[in-house]
Amino acid sequence: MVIFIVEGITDKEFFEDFLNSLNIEKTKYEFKIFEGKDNIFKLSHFLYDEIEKELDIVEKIFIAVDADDPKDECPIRGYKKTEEKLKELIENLAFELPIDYFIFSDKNRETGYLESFLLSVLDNEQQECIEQFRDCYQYELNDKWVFNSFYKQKKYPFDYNHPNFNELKQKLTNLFKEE
Amino acid sequence: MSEHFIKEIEIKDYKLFKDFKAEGFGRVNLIGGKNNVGKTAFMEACFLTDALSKSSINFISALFTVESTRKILTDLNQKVLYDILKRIAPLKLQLNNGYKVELKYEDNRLKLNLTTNEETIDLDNMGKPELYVKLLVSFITSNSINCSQINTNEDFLNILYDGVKKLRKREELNLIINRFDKDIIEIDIIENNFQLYSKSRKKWISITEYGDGVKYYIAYISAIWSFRNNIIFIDEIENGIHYTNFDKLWELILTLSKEQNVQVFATTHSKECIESYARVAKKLEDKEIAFIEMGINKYNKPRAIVMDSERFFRELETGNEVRGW
Repeated sequence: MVIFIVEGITDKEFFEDFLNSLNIEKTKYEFKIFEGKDNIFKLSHFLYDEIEKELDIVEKIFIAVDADDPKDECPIRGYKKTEEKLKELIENLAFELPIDYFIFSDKNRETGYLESFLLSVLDNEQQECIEQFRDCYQYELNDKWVFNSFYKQKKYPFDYNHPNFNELKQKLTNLFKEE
Repeated sequence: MSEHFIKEIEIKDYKLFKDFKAEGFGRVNLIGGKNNVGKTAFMEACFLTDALSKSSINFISALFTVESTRKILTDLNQKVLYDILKRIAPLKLQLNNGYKVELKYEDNRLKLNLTTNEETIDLDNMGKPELYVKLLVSFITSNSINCSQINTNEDFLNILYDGVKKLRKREELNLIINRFDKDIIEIDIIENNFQLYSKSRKKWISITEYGDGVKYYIAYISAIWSFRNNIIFIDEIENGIHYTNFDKLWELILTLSKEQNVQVFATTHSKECIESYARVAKKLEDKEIAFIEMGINKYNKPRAIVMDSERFFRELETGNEVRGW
């Protein structure tokens, strides 16, 4: 059993779809939805107690979080800081099993969210369209808004063969590889 | 939760359980898991534990029930069996058929005396205690009506229905069954046969002509009434019940078990049955429920995750598979 530690329902829906595209059976994994990035970094969170009590049935753990933006209120913001904190968390959890992670961000690996990661694989025409809309709209639009307004209703019409998915694909393939 | 309910269990050397513990059971407990992970054996262990906590005769009846349904005595670890007999001794039974059974543990030896031949059998010397347990339980057959492992054979239904009559709940049972099947307006035992009155056919019809659903429905309701302040065990609760009737079934089980103070253990393979259980428990705001997910852990040992209502609802909302891993 692989446990996916995620921030919210949108992450879970994305992983379900992505894992399905990799032909990973649904019975091989479960989600623990922590309801926000901050909660994932709380060692005392009840979901960690739940996992700890059931380590005898857990093979591996995968943590996925957003990099977030320096403008956000979250205390752990930006790719680098998030990665540092994740490494610290994994060490402090002291679960004696493999734990891997993935940080959702924009293509520059600095800031962003799951939505930025997904938008980064759009074709040039779509990218330009969004940029033009951003210029035209004048007010600031974050990637969550763009994604949810224009793409969510089509439920991930993304091509999972895009090279931007390769790293995540590789990590997940390793995660479910039979030892 | 009542004192007499099973809240935790420790199972050693019983079938596939070598050293197993589980705790946090509710008033109503639904057990899910893949095949061959020990769901039924777990329930049998709870059934035997409950019987052992009541009286020796209950325990031996329970052993007989389990043995006759699953032939488990051959699998049961002999040492464990011997230890159990040591624990229930001294035991004196006066049976309906006039036989007397006496079980003693003296001078570090287990001795079984059956009044049929006045012979004292020394189990230590014979070396095969399981044979004598079989002999013992065969003497108890006529007394084995204290069975709380629910089935739908006609004899058992008759016993349950007797209980319904004694409790003067026949009218209530008729109303409940009518809600399940609008065509059935009355139930009774006529000329020693369990019969149902069909509204459309305007006559009494033997229960054998009806599907399993009606039989199970009658058995579950009658059992909860008959086993007031007790524990009942239902293997594969979805049997014979169409999934569109699961909500009605759970509403009854949850409501009646609360009203009658009955603890329920049931197994299922059906996803619809599990979802219905959660939906109805949530609707009734029943927090005394548990879901027990069973499987085999990384070390190849049976394992149970006992979820309280809060966790159970959360797991289902998350979309996690709860029927084993």
